[in-house]
Amino acid sequence: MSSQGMSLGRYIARRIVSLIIVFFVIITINFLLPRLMPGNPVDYFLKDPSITPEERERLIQEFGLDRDLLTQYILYLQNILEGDLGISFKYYPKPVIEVLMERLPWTIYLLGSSYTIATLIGIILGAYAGWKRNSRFDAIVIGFSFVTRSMPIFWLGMLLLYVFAAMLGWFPISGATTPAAQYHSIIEFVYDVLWHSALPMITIILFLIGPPALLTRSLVSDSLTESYVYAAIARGLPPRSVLFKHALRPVSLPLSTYTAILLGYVVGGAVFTETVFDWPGVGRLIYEAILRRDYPLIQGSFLIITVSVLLANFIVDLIYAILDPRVRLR
Amino acid sequence: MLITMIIVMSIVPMQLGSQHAEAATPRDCVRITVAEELSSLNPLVGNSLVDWFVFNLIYDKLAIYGPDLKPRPWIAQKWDVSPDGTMWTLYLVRNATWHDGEPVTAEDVVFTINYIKEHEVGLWLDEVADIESVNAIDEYTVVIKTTKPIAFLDTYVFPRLPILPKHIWEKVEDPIRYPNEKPIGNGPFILREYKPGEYLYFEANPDYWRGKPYINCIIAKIGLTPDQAFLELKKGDLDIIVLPYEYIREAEKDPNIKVVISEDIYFDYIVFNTKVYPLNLKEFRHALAYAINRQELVDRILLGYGEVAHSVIPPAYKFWHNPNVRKYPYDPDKARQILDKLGIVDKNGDGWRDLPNGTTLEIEILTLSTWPPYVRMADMIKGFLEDIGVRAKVVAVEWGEESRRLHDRDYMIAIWGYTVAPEPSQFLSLFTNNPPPYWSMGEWQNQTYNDLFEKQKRILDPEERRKIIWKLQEILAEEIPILPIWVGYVVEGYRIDRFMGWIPMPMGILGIYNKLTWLNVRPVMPTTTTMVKTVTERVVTTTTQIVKGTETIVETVVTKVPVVTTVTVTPTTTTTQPTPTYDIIVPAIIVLAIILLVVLVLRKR
Repeated sequence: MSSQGMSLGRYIARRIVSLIIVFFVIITINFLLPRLMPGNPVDYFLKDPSITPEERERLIQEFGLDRDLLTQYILYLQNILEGDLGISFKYYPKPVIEVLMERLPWTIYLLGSSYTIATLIGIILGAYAGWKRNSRFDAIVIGFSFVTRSMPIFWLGMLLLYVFAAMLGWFPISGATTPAAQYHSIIEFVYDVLWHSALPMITIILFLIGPPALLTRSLVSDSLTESYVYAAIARGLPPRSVLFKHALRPVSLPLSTYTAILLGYVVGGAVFTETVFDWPGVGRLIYEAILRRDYPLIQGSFLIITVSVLLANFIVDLIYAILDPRVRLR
Repeated sequence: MLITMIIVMSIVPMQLGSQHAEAATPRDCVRITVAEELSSLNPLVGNSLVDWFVFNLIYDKLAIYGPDLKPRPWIAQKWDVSPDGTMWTLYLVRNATWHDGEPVTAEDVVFTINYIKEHEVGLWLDEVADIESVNAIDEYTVVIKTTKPIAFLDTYVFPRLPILPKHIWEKVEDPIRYPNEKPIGNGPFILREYKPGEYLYFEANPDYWRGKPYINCIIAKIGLTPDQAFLELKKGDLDIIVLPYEYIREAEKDPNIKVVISEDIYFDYIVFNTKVYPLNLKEFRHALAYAINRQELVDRILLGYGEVAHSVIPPAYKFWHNPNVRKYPYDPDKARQILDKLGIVDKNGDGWRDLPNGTTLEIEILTLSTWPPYVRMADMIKGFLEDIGVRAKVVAVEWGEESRRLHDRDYMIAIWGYTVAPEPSQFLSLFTNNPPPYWSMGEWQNQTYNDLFEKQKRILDPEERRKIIWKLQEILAEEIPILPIWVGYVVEGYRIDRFMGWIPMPMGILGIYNKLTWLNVRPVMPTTTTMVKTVTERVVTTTTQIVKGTETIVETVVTKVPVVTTVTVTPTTTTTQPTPTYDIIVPAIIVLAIILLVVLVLRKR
């Protein structure tokens, strides 16, 4: 008989191994993609008159661009393990990692909070809709979910921007803070950021609310026919307790898997949302890097994003293990 | 939520770290937007338009370009050249200081030039290559000796070469990798704060040698899209922006916005690969030039905000631009005649012209897939060529691929553009037999052109040199290795309720060489009472003396300065500001559509 710790430990170990495998696959693709595109990355250096021939040589050496693909790959792996993502072409000679770190907190804040809020609201709405199947409330939730899910996120953002920022003037049009503002306390700063992030957050929340709401609704309405729910109702438990403790709990497993997948989905939306709202995050950085063909920066941003999604999925996997009574109680 | 709060808290310290002087509040600032992120704060490295814009505010150069793009004295208040043209003596102003209070002296100029040579700073090496030695005679006099006479020293080097503070940069070992995060300049504005991806914050330099600018500060928001910028201008969150052509009419309707149109020094052209048959035939190139209706390209793609270009030096350079070069008005019949004469006629009766050896002629037009005006231009040119029976094909590729194909000379016709520097020989040098390796101007070679080009480099008298520059433009217009298409206009919109005194210049009010506008712009008035403004223009004549060799040139510059007369009106009721008009119909329809959708879904159930 294995103890609970053993089982959980083995589960985590398995997840870590698969995490590492996926990580290697991702960085390999990340390495190959720019090299499959037409044109050589060095050509961009060649055309930049601000870089001297010596400096150019140094960079070619540094990236091993004059050597064969395998050597380049080994060099690339080595650099990544050392946390060196190369030097940005555009912000030359600033390292990519430095450029990314300036922007990452803003993206984590925006995506993290709107993702959390959206899934929570989505699950609660979906649970009630499933509980009161075929009611007016259910219909509204379904209609709302379908409509918001079908709208392109940049379009939704532009609409909110036009109505609430430009026409009504309630919110700022761009930025994450008031430029050159003087904050006398942290409260003022937090207020300023919340005010600036309201519209981009609402955009992402509206965009994300649909899928978890729909899934929760169908899962809950299915589980309502299960015998343990009947038993709970028969025992005379209050409806809320039946819904959240008995009907929702077993479906939390597929839900958590699904919301983890959703996290990858939201990252794509980040590029659009950050560009529409001029949010100083990684999403807009990718947009700018693509415009300027800054290969090291594009690669670095993709890597950072895939790694964050991977880690988030890993965390969800751990939560899954904790939630799953078959793992926890064995 | 807890995670959210923790992340917010982690951002806080870096935000609170910045404290500004009490005098300036962001409310007084001129607020602008720069199109993209700064690439470097190091003036020896940064070379994007945004970098140049920022350096223009922070650093003063030896000379400055006036509104007519001709150089005039600035930090060097006067200079003279020895009769043989190889010794330049510069007399610096005596009251200029660096932002840290140190004086700007001849030593700084000497240091900068030697430093660039010593460290082989790529961007500036060409400019200082022919300088043999540079010495400080006294604290404010610099003598520059050149190996041979250099014509572009005062037109190109003095107004552009940065001057670095010796006391800071002498400690810098590797100038290429030096981030220069807190730049110490000598210009009218000091960079107080830079938040990557967010904004740049400049404060007026109170000790500026020409007196503190009228405005207290400038906020440059980074990376707003044209749509955001226009919305913010209407809302009053920005004071001046570059207007996309599509927004001009809407901006003109807004009572708070004034639209200004300036010429540009950037032009778009098509380059013919003259190493490929039949593009190597001058007559064939002429035929293509006659076949392309460039006025229609301007009208349809630039919405008329531009003009057809004939010479490779844009008309904004009044002095250097040659208006009398050979022109190619739209004349498809003439184009057909030329092709017939060349024997390029339809031989097999398929409707397309064939080469004399019988193979079908097909012209491939290389263009940028990522820049819509170029794609449209290529499509329209294809149509024009097909009109005269020449089969054409558009190949749209992304930037890297087009650069590579131009670099490898792997193209027939390509669409490209160039910002022509205030020194004409800089662009004209691309057509000599010694162009930069990465740039293609059609591989065209002409000995007369090369000889004339070499000759003008050594002529210091502007009038004499202009004759040759004009001749070079004539040769290019006759030979057309490239066919200039258009020079677009720079259209800017600014709010009239907060600041006034903007000075337009080629490249616009926000152009990278326009320093005078930042020294002249000022707040309209404190807005406690309602005021009726009448804006008139006052003509200011400035006379500058430039000693050049033995002769003294007296330059007279006429600048129009807007004069605003204000009449205070006692507030009767409430101060009514004209509210900006927004198009309510589109969002209303969208909202209605959404409601309809929801209702439909509800009904279906």
